[in-house]
Amino acid sequence: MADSSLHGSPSDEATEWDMPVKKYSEFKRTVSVFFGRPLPVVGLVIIAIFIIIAIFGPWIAPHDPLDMDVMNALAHPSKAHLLGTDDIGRDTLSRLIYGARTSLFIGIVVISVSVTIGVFLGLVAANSSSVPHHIIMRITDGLMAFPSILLALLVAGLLGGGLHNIIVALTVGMIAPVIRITCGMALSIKENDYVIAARTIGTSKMRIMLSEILPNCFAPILVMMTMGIGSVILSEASLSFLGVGISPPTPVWGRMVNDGYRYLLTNPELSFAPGVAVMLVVFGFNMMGDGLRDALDPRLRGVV
Amino acid sequence: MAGYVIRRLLMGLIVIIIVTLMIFLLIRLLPGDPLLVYITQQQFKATTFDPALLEQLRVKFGLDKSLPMQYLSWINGMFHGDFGESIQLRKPVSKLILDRLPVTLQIGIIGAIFATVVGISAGIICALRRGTWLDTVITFLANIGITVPSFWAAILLIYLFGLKLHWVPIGGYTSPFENFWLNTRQIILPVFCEALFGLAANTRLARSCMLEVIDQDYIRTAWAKGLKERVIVWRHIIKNGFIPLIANTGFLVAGLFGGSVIIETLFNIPGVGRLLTTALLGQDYMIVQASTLMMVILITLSNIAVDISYGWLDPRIRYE
Repeated sequence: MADSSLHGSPSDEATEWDMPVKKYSEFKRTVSVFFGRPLPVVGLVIIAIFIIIAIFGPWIAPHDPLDMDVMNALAHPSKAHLLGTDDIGRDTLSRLIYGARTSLFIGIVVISVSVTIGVFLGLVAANSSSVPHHIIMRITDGLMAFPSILLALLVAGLLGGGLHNIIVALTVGMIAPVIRITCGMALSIKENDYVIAARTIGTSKMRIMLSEILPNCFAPILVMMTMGIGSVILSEASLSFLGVGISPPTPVWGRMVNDGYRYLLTNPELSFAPGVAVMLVVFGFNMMGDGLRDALDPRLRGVV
Repeated sequence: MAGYVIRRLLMGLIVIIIVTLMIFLLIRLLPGDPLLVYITQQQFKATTFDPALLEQLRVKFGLDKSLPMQYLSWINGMFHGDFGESIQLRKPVSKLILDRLPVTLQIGIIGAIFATVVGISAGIICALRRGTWLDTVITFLANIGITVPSFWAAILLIYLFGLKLHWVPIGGYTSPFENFWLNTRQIILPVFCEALFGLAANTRLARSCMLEVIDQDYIRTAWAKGLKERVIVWRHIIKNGFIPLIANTGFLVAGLFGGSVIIETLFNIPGVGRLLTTALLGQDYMIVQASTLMMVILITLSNIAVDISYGWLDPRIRYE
């Protein structure tokens, strides 16, 4: 390449424009900023560990999470049961490992669904005339007036438990901020010169939306998704703690905390351990989201 | 300014109307019949199921009318202070809520003040001492604070301060007018747990807002012309960095109400949050819709107050 030949030339008379031009890569810059600080990397490692645990759960777990060893109920941590057993003798560590599957699965599904619908509605609201815009945005305002945990609790409580209903409930609780942020981003991107140029040369509205506006919303959406998984997992834990989550005996962290609460004095690890798991996962996603935001676009601070 | 205030009030009103529709439709269109739940509970011992009684109750609670009529009579009733009657408890919902509201408000307001004052001060200290060990420790604690599930933090604190150290009771509520000292000891943990997320989020936000201001040219100018640190911090940094923080107060209030649902259930506190959870699990529609609406109205009102003070502090916002 011209680059290397110039670089390797022995000539001492290299002037300013002969100097090697390093190709600037936005991707490389982002990666180096992201990995340049400890916390985002810690977050990434935590998430990776939990994903591995979730995928290989059945091979890692020392016991069957539903297997009741009644003779050993409420056993304290030992070699056979590293984190002890619960009130009907199920192995806490195995239940924690299986709980990771449920939590991560719900987190990822809910975020994918709510971001897909939310981004679509946000883009439609930003690109349409006043009537659809106002309908979408006023409904969003209405949803935003609820605390998101309360909205999810209402929908889950009225629909009843079960995996599908929890996913619907959490999606309803998540969607409004996605719509609002996407719409806001799209409206400000629309004012940029390249969009005006595209409109001037007669590009269709649809095409502008998909190939000019959407790619430029990529950074905030990615950050939103990362942090969103954390808050979905937190909400799911809160719902199942209140008893409106996934029905037993499926192991879920929130319910495990609640079940263990009765034995707080004698077996505190029953409540403590699943809480630590929730905290670690959420911490991981938050730190990774923070890192992504600073690496992709520090101006998003306070927006996402 | 007057135009701005009126615009905000109108928008708030529209939001509240939309919310009443949402709550109403959500509750009516989803599966589950509260009267069936009620009857099966009441007639637990009876072997036969009486359809006539069901019909009678349906008329009594107005559930036989069409949906738009039910909605209108609900709204109409609310203007007369009538929020309907609880299907399970057989008491007027307005009384049930009004009895419990002061409890929720006491914990919520103390929590909001705590989260605002302590959170913002901590964030400002971090920003002013950026890079020192104090900044590292506080930022780390704040990062933990936004990730800890509030129910789990509550259980941890109950274990430590209630069960092991016996410093505070592990639950319950006494009116401060009855026994002030007992009330204080009972609400310390709930207030802290409910405010924890807001406290941590405020710290993080305050830190980044202040850092943004510290890098501005006018701060450098202020240093360059030899102003005292105290003047720069108070008059230039805090005054300018404060504005985005006020906007966050609306989220803080929403978070506190959302948290009250969990914290009141856990600490066995007779507030609106626990009333709502119990009613939801028992499918007591009247209580669910009224208490949810009340929370949303309080949140919307605080949002309006925030927006108005925001417009007053930063005149640019009024003209958007």
